[in-house]
Amino acid sequence: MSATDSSASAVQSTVGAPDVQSTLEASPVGQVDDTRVAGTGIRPVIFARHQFISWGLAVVLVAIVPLFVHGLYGLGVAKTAGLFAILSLGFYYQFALSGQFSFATTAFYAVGAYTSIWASQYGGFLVGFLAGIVAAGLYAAVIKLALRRSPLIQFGIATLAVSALSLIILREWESFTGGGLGRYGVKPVSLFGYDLVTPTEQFYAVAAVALIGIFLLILFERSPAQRDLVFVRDMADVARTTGLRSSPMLVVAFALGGAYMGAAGSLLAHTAGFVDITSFSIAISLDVLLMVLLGGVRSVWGPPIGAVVLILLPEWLRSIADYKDLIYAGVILLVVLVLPGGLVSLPHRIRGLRRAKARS
Amino acid sequence: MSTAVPLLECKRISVRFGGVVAVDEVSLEVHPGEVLGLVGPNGSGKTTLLNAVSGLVRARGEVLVDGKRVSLGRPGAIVRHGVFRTYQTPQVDRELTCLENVLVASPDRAHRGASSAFMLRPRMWAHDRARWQEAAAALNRVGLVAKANVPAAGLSYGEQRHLEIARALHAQPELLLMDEPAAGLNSTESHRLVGLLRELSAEGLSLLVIEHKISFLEELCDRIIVLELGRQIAAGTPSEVWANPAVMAAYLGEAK
Amino acid sequence: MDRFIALVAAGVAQGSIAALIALGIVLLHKATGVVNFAQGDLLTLGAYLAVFFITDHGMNTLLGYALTLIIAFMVGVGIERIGYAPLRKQSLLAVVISTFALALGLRSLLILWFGTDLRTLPPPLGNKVLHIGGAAIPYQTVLIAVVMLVLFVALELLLHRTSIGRQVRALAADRETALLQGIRVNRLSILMFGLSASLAALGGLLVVPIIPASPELGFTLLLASFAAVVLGGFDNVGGTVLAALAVAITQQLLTGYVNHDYSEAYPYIILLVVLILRPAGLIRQSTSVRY
Repeated sequence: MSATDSSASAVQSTVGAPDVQSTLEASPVGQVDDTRVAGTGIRPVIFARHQFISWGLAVVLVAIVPLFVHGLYGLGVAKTAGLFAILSLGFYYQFALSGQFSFATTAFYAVGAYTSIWASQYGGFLVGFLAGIVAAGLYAAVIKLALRRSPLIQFGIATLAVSALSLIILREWESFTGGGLGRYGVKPVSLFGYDLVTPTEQFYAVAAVALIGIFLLILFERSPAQRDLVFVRDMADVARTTGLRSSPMLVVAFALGGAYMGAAGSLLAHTAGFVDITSFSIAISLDVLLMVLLGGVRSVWGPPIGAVVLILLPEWLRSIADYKDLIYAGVILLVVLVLPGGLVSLPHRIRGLRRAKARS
Repeated sequence: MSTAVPLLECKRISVRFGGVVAVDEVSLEVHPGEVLGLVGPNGSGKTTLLNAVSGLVRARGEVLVDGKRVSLGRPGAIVRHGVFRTYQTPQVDRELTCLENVLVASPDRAHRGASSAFMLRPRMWAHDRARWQEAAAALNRVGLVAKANVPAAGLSYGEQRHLEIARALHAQPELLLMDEPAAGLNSTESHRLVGLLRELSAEGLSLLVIEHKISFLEELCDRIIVLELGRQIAAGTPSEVWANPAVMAAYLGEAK
Repeated sequence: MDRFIALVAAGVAQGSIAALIALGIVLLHKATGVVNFAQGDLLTLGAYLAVFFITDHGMNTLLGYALTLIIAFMVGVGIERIGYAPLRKQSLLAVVISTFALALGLRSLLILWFGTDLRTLPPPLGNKVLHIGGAAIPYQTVLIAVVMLVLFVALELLLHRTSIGRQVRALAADRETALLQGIRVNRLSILMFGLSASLAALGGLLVVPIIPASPELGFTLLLASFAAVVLGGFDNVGGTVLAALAVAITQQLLTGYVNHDYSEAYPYIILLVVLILRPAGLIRQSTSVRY
C-alpha cells in the first residue's frame, strides 16, 4: 500500500454531497492559475477520505460482537446479517456503481452455494469457496453479455426471469443439487485444516469475508475504475465518445457483484451444513435491493449497514414480526421519498438541516 | 497549410428517422489546423450530422479520418482516430468532481480497471499521478482548476460547458467537434471562449463548430458550411457565406 | 385432437388473464412511462376482494365484482398519489422502486387480512362445460376470453376515438411536446393508474374460480405478462395481447406434449430468448438520440 492511500490531508469533503453549492462562490471562468498546477498537489478528493480508519473500526466492532451476542440463535442471526452484507456488497457493484437493476441475486447465491458443495467434495472448503465465486461470477458475466443491449427495465425483467428459471433448473437438476431433498453433510468452513464449527467461529468466518469484501470495495473506490464506471453508469454513450469501453466495464461490474454473491452462497452452504432449494427465493433478491437502498447507494458502508438493520429489525421487533414486510415497504418508501441517500447520508442531512436552521 | 489528405472527410452522409430525412447526402472536409463552422436554421440537421459522425445515430455514407475509414453507428469508433466532441447540453456527470469528469477521458488506458485496483496498485498509482497532472492542466486551461474537487453539480452552466471542453482537451484530440459551445454564455464568456479556441487552433487543434452566433463564427472560423433541411446550401469563408442570398433566404425563411 | 384443443383453451384462458394485466401495464406506460410492479398484486387484490364480498359476505355476484373494481381503482389512485406524484422530478428508477415497495406493502396487507390459505370463488356461470371438438372447455374459460376481447376492443376505442385516448397517445409519442400543449397530466395519470389497477383486479376476479387466490398469485402471473409486454412492445396494445396469448398457448402445448416438469419455466425461457435476440423487445421503437 503506497503512502498515498493512508496519508492525511487537510481536504476532506464528501463526493456528491448535495449541499456543496451553497458554500461555493461563483468564480469567473477563465482564471488561469499557474501556481496551483505547478508541482501540483491536486488529486481526486476520494484519496483524502479516511476510509481505512473506518474499516479498522469496523474490524474491531465485528471482533467484539461475540462479547455481546451469545448462543446459537443470536450468533446465527449475526451470521445471517453477515451473509446478507456480502450479498448487498455484491449488489452494490451491480446496482449502485453501475446502475444495473437486477433480480438475479438469488440465482448467483444459489449457484455459488451448490457449486461450492460440489467442488468441496473434491478439494475441501477452500476449493469449493473459490469454485462458488468463479461459477457465480461467470454466470453473471454470461447473463450480462447475452443481454448487454437491453435497456434498464427490460434487463430488470430479464433478471427476474433468470432468477425464476435458475431456481427451477436447480430444483430439477437432482444430481447436482439433491433436488427436493437438498444436500446434507456439507463440509464445514475450514482454514488450514482447522474446522470452524462453533457458532462463534462461523460468525467470524462470514464476518471476515464481509470485511474483505468491504476492503476490496474501498480499493475499488480509490481507483480510476470507480470514476470510469460511474461515468458509464450515468451516460454510457457519451462515455464511449470519450474513449471508455462501456459494455466491458458493465459486464465486469456485474460479474464482480455475482462473484460476491457466490461467495455468500458458499459460506451459507458450509456454515449451515445443509442446503435445499427452499433456502433460495426471489424474496432474497428483493430483500437485498431493499438493504442497499436503505443503507445508501452512495457509500461502501451503505450495503452492510442496510443488511444489518434489515436483518436485526425483525429480531428487535419480534412482536410485530408479522408486519415485517409492511415495515420494509414503508421504510423503502420513506427512503425513496425523503432520504434518497439512505441511512449513510443521514448524518450529512442532519448537519445540513442544522446549518439551515442556524442561518435562519 | 492544407495537405493532400483532409483530417476529416465526410462523404454523402445521410440520416433518416422513420420517414424523416434529417441529413441528406452531406459531404464536407476539415483540413488539419482548420476551423470549420457548421451553421443553419433550426432543424437543418447540424446536430444530427455531428451525431452521425461521432457514431451516436445510424447513418449512411462514409467517414474518413486521415484517409482511414471509420465505422458508422458505433460511438467509440471515431475516438480511436483522435476525434472528440462536446454536446449541445453539457454532458458532465453531476456526481463526479471536475477533476474526475476530466480524468475519464484520459488517453492513458493502462492500469485503470478493477484488476489493477485490487492487485496492481503501485502501477495504478504511477499512471494515475501522471493522469492527475495532465487533467489538472486541462482544467487550468479552461480556468476551472480552482474547482477541481468540486462536484460538477455545483457548477454553473457556463462552467459545465468549460468542463466539457477541458475533458475533450485532456483526451489530446486531433479534431474537436463542438455543438453550440457558446450557447448560454454571455458576451464576455463567449469572447473568452473564442480566445481559448483560437489559442488551441494556433497550437494545431482542428475544429468543427456548430454555432449560431455570427460574431463568434467570424472571429473563429476559416470556412463555413451552411445546411438547410439536411442539405448543404452554401460553403466558403464567413464573408462569402453571409453574402450568399440563399443563406439569407434560409434564415429569413425561418424567421417567418 | 381433443387434448390439443383443451390445451389451447387453457392457454387462451391463461393468456387472457396475462393480457389483462399486460393491458394495464401498457396503458400506464403509454401515459406515464412508468412500469408498475404492483400490477400483479393488484390482481391478487381483485381475487381476494371478490372472494371477500361474494363468498364471505354472500353479496350478489355482479355487485361484488363492481365493488371490487371500484376499490381496485381507488387503490390504483392511491399508488399514483404516494408512489408516483411525489417522485415525478426524480428518476424513473425511483418511481419503479416505489411501485415495488407499494407492491410489497399491498401483498403484506393482503396476507395480514386474509392469511395464507387458498381461497376460491365458485364460477359465476356454474360448472358447465362447452364441448368443442371433443374437448370439455369450462364456461369460465370462455368467459375470460370473451371479457378480455371486449376489453381489448374497448381499450383500442378509448385510445383512438376519445380525447383522453388522444392525450395518452400524445404523451406516449413525445412527452415534452405533449406537456407544452397543456395536456392535464395530473388528471390523466390518476385516471390511468386507477384504470390499470381495475384491469388487473378484473383479471383477478376472473381467474380465481380457476386458480385459487394466494398471496403469490399475482406475482407469478405478472412475470408472464411482463413477457408479453416485452415481446409485444411496451406501447403496442395489440401486439401485447397477441404475445400474451401466444406465450400462454405455447407454454400449455409444451407442457402437454414435451416436458411437464419445466412447465413454469417456458414463459421465462421464451422471454429470455427473445430479449437475447432483440434486446429491447420484439417491436422496435424508433428513438432519436437527443443530445
